[in-house]
Amino acid sequence: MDDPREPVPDQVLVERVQRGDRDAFEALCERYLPIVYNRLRALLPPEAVEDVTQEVFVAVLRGIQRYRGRSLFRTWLSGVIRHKVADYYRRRHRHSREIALEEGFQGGRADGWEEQAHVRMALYRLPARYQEVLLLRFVEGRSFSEIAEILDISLEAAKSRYRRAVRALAREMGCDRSGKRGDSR
Amino acid sequence: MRIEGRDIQSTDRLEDERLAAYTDQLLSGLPSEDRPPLADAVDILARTLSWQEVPAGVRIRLRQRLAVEWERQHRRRPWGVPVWRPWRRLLWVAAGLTLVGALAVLILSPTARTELSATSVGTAGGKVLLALGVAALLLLIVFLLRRR
Repeated sequence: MDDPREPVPDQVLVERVQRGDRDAFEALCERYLPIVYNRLRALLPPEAVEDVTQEVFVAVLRGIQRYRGRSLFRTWLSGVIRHKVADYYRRRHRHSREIALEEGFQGGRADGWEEQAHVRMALYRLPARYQEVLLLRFVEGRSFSEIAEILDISLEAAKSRYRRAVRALAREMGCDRSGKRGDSR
Repeated sequence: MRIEGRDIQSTDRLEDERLAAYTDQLLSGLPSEDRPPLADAVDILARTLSWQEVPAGVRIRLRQRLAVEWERQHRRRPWGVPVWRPWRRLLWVAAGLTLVGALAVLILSPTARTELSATSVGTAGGKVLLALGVAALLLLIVFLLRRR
């Protein structure tokens, strides 16, 4: 299972792509496709995931010459994902379907589909730093020490940010202090 | 006051630890006796967010789209690769302009004209060729400036 070869660092792949190496671009896509796809599954309705996944990678291809390596590639990619998700909701807002969807939540009890849509919208509205920590823990399945390493913060700070993120999400979803969805209040 | 602040801090830290431990237990499928505040929100997140393999169809269509996009991005500069970076393009433009300037001085200066008249460039045909060369250089410069 273990690959004996050392994986090529992102930065090396990015520099090769910038010099016009198509294989390097394919390797980069292969590496990040599962992450992009699953993050978008958490943030978008199922019917939009594939299209926006394509948009993200096309944006990466078009914008990679501007990437200067000041931040990690995955941090830069997270920014691209957030932009594309925001674009999607802006476009969709124009068609005003989102409003109808949100109105559907006011009824209280939610089945699986509604609950997922509710969590998606709440996640989307969170500040980037909270959204990131929740996606790392629940979508990518990263441990708290891995999260701390990726975000370049201490383990304590990672756990603290996580709790604040959950609290913010609960607030967005209209949960009470214990985290219960508020039907009565 | 300071002691009170420290108490709040340590309570916060304890709550952070409790929620993190609860989440770890939940995600590893183990039952947890402790139910910290916000446990319900964590339950919802664990229920609704998950990891899924990328379907083969999605992978194939993405590859096709990116192949088209890659071609589109790289087709535009079959010979222009050396001038693709802005600073290189400017270098080419500057070199072209210097050459045009030198030729203009050569044609317009009276002393150079007298000397040129004794050479092949000094003939009528030579002057036409020189003018065409200058025009071609100018066109090249305009073309380079208009490129992305």
